[in-house]
Amino acid sequence: MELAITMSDRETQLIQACLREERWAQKELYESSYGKMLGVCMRYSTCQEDARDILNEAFVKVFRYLSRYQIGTSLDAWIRRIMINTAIDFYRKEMRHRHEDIELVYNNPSENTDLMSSYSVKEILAVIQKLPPSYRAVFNLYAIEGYAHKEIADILNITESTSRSNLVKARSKLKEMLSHLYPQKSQSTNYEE
Amino acid sequence: MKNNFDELFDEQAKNLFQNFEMDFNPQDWTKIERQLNQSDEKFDANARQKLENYEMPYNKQDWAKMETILDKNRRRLPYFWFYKTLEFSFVSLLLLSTALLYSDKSDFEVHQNLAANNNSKTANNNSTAANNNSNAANNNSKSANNNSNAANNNSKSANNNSNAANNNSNAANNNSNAANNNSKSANNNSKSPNNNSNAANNNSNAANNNSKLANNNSNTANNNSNVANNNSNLANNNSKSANNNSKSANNNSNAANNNSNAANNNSNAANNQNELLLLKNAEIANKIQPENGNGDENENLSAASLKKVKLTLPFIRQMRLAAVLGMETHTENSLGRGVASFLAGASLETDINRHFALSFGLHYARRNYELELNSQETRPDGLIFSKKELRNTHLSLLQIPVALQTNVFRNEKWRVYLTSGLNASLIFDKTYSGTLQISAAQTAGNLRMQSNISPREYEGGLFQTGNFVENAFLTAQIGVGAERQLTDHFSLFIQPTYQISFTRFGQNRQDKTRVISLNVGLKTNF
Repeated sequence: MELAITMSDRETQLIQACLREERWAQKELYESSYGKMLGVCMRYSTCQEDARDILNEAFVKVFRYLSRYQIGTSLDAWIRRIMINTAIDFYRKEMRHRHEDIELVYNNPSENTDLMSSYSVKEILAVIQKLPPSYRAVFNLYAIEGYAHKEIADILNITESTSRSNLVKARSKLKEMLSHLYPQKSQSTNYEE
Repeated sequence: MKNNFDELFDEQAKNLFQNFEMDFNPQDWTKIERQLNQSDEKFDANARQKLENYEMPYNKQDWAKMETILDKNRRRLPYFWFYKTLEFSFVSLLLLSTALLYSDKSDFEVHQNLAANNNSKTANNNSTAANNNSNAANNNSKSANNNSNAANNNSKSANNNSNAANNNSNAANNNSNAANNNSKSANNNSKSPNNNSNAANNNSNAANNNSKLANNNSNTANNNSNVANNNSNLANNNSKSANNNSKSANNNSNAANNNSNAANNNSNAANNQNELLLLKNAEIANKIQPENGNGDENENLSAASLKKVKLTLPFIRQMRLAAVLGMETHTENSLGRGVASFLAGASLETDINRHFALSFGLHYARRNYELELNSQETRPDGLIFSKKELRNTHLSLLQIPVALQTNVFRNEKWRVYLTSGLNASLIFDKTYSGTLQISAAQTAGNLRMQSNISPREYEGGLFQTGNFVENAFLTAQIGVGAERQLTDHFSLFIQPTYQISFTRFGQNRQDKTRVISLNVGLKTNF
């Protein structure tokens, strides 16, 4: 998705300086995107350390391929896409070295559709990071990034049905983990309902 | 206690409902599915809402880690290009050197063969011993026209040659064999001028015819002996045919391909550009940060801290592309006195470290020479002819310079450096112009001829009729350059250079040259 935007002079100057590999500009771009992008990386990783590795690896790509960025489109979206791609690469590497323990889905602990709203971002992130990588990747790509199952299947090199299945399992497991890890909130939400 | 009726009723009811099924209603499933989807969608939407704009707090350590990675990558990239450049240059020089050495050997053998031909005194062979090429035939016809004493036979032969010569493919080095072939195929060629397979020999036939005529008639213009290489043999012809002699003599005098070396070597962009950029960046940062409102570090940059930044920031390697124009002058050689020449080209430079940079490029050079030759010849009948030849020679060269630059001084605007390296040169084109005057000294005023010289009588460049060994050479070069930074990306430079060839070139590989050049140009870094 490309958004046509009017770039500020400052942003243009920043990009040009980054293209000249000027360190101050690189630092400024890094700082300005750091929070959001690390948040993205956190969702695709199992811990903060991994997320930081992904972030730095992705920023190296950002600086290297910044010349390919089309002025007039959203820089933020472009960087975010690189983050996601790098995270997916990371996921692929992880899958190579790890036997994923795909657990059976527990019985759906709660049909409360407003379950998420009662938890903080950190709590949600914590449970997302506990998901098996294949569930986590599908859930992030589908639920957060808005990719279609076909696209996810292409990106992760799986079938569409696997993508659907993993998504269902990811959701169930998230709900189950949220209920188990934070039972009080889960109960209070049920009561409210 | 149940009675019979009750038992019967229970039994029938059991049988009735045991396999009872309601019809499936799709609407019921749609309803459930919608609820499930809504549930999932809401779950996803909540997750998206929470996570999409989530930002982690900034950690300075992460930037330090990032900076380390960037520095590492920055250091690695120029090394990659440096080694690739070095590799390319080395391979090029190796190939050229190998070719030169190989050519040296074959050249020696060729000269031995030529010597054998000279001993046999087969003057006509000389014409065929020349590079058996199309130029020879055309030469003949032109020479015939230039000479008013040309015999009819010659012009016919020339026509034959011109038809046949287009198909000539023999190499110049086949001189020793050419002599025999020519003498054998002389008659055939004269009868069948369009015989392509014998094209090379057609030239020699013309020469045979001409030499015979020359014996019968001392004034016959034996223009067919347009031999470039076999100078000593041509000298024999000279004694028999006056015109032939004069041309052969000219050939002899023009024996060498006097290649001179082009100046080259674009100067490299200054390393201090890095510091300049960083300083400017810091200034820009100062301007930007107040608008940004969160530049806590850059906001406090003072002039003093800028100087500190300039001193402490790491060296940044760069690659630069340079466009170069140059004027040059060169020493005299067998092609004559060197006159003003020029070169143009491009070069690529890469920093090695703060003090050294490597450059290599591709240049085109045009070199001009002027030659005046005066000579006298005495015919057997005692008639003395004076010859005066004025000839301009233009050489077109391709050059591949590889040079190491050493910085001796630099600041934010200027850089002065020394450069030294090698330059591989290739003469791919030679053109000639000028006049030839012949007068009889004893009958001054009565017999006087002037004609334009025929360029095809002389040796050509590599892409013409020349061979590699006589048209390729290596030079060593040293120079000093000064470079002025104009903007962040552009700089002007001036670079005087002195070159001296350390391999010989030209006909019989007898020439060396020295060149002083002044190059100016524009560089851009990327």
